[in-house]
Amino acid sequence: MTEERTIVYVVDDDPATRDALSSLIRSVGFQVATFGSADEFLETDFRDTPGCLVLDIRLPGLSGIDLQRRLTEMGVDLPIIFITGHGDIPLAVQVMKAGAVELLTKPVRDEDLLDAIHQALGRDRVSRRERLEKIELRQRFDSLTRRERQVMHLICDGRLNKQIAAELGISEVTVKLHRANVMRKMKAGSVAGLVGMATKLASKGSQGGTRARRRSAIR
Amino acid sequence: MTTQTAAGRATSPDCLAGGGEMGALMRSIAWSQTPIGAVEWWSPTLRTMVSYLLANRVPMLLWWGPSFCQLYNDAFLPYLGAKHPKSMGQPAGECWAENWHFIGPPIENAFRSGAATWTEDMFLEVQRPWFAEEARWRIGYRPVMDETAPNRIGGVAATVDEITEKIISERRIVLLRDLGSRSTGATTAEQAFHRPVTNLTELTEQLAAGRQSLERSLEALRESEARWRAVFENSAAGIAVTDLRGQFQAVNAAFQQMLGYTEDELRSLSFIDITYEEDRDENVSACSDLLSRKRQYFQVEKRYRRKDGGFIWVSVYVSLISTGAGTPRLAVAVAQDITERKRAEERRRQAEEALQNAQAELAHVTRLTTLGELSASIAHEVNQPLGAVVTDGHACLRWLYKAKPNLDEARAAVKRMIQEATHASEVIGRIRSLARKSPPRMIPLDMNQAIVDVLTLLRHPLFQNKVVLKTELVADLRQAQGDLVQLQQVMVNLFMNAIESMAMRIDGPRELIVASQNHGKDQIVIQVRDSGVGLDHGRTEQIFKPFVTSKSNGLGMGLSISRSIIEAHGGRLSAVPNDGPGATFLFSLRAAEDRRVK
Repeated sequence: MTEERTIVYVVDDDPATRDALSSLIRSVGFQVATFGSADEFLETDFRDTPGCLVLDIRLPGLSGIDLQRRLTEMGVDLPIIFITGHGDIPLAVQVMKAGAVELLTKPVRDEDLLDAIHQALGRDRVSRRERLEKIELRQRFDSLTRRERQVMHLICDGRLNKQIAAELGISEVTVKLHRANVMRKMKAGSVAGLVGMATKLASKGSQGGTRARRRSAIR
Repeated sequence: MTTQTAAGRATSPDCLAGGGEMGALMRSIAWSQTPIGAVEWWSPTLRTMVSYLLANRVPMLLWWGPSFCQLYNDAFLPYLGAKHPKSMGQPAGECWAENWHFIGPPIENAFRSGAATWTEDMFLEVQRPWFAEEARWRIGYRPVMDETAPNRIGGVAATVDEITEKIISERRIVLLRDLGSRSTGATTAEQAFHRPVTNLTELTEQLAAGRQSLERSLEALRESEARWRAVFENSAAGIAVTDLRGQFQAVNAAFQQMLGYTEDELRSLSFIDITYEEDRDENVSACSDLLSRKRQYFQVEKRYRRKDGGFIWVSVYVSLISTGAGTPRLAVAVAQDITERKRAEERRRQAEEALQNAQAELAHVTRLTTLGELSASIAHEVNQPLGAVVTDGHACLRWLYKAKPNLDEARAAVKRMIQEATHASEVIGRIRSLARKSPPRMIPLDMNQAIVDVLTLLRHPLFQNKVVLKTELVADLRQAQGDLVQLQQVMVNLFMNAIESMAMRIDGPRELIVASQNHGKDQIVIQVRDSGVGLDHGRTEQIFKPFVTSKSNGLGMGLSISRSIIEAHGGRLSAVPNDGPGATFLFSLRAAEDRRVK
């Protein structure tokens, strides 16, 4: 279970609840870090370590929902499990739409919480992998020349070499050369692979927050 | 009441005309009820005697008929003491019952034998309320001839002479004899002449002076007695004279009326007999202080048991009567009927009690209303620790079910469970005490703790309305004297008002500041400052009136009840608009006796 280092962050203003949650989560072998407020949590370095966030909706100062919004704005993809004192349906819809893994009502059933944590950590693992891939793709993409990017764009649009040459006003031989460079630099084995990479580059992060900036970057 | 005929009415004024006070009294009497019958049937002799008597300035008394029906003039009044006015028209045997053994024989003798007699130097103890006077006088008894009477004697007339002067003269003669006998020891004529003469001159002067002063004091005494008798008889206050054992000697009309006993009945009683059972001990101890001269006088408020079994409240002022240098023999009590006042006090006390009950009832109802409004917050306050208990329970089991159980973690979890369950039960206890209807219990209180406790109940509304809470509680706050439940009610009310007032504002910061501080020598002040919609300067008093509210669902009782609670604690509750947004409510409380929170 702990083949990779993960931390479960618990944010709750009630010390007793915090300690109880910490104990339960540690009992199944996770590492836990607890915080009394959203601000306290924001001061820590939570970006580099895989993990998830167990968050009380009701917090003094910055509330749980505020923190979720803030993390999204910061481009942080930490999966969130919300805990609330009372089942409030509009609130549940709101946080789930904003990408929360789960919303649990106190008193929390241990299995529900631990399942949610497993799910959240799995999601974090996937999104981290995707993020790494994407960073690498980005680096490959960034190594392309302007002409190569144009060629790649047209390949992904399904154009033939001849069509590309006509569109760009260059010879077909030159197109072939660019195409070979694109395939090599992007480490693509096939056109289909290249199209997949382009889709990933154009997509939003992993899950959650909108990334309009990224989408525009590909144009 | 009388059965006077027209003729009687026409003739009676003739003989009863004039005659000062006694004339008036005689005219008012229904003579037909007396042994001598209606005035129109009186014999001419009786009529003549009566008009003579009334016109006379000398003390005169007439006993008429075989029952010696008594008639007298104004001048005779001083000799009757408290017997008057009952004594007018009364048979002599009844009137003078206590002295009849020596007053009776000369009257009867004159009436039967027709011989005039007189008694001299007789000692008569007459009923006098303020002192027992030893009076010396001579009474002349003369038969009055009446043709119409069976043995031709209608009755006996009496005149009274003071013989004090005569007694003084006799004493002088005794003294002179004494001087004369002393001069016989002289050896020369000169000695024999001079010694007594010198002495005689001195002594005569002394005697003359003594006599004059005696006359003056007798005159003064008479005047004084007449004056005091008038006070005694006409006083609206009840006046009673008792001996030193508390036995009644004389009581005035007002006193008799208060108690429903006649004077004769009272004479056989002591003040203890008529004092209400529960009030006796205090009364007796005050009396013994008086007798042992620890006190000059005392005043008590007590109850008298009336003859009819009911009781009256009286304020009694008791003192000993000193007569010159001698030991006092009598005490006087002046009693005022204060039953009405006591009843009014009792009614007022009952009204106040009813008002207090009604206020407590209202406070209780508004507390319940407030608790209803707080139910969501309360549910959260209880659910929070219960949630922790459940989570800890799960954690504990998991630590125990491990292949290698972690007992330390399991123990820590159970400890927290106990703590949290206790906390939940405390929250419930607080709410239950607010919901309970119990009489106020004034004890020293830590108001800082009370503030914190109330604020925990309000976490939900504070959170929902995004209110930032600040507390500024001084560490060395004095303990307040008060009822915890009532003061918590006041605070819930003020805090909720503040939160609701801030919720009405769309923008601007929402900040609630609760501060405690010591004030003056023996007070503490709690401040509740909000940044809500605030108050108009002119309305700061208006808001404390009942049924004044700015809320759509409010009853408008909260602040008015809060103020009455604080005022019942000897404090004050007021409101002031802030310079910036919002308002500040302040209330003061009396500190408990010289004790601090820590």
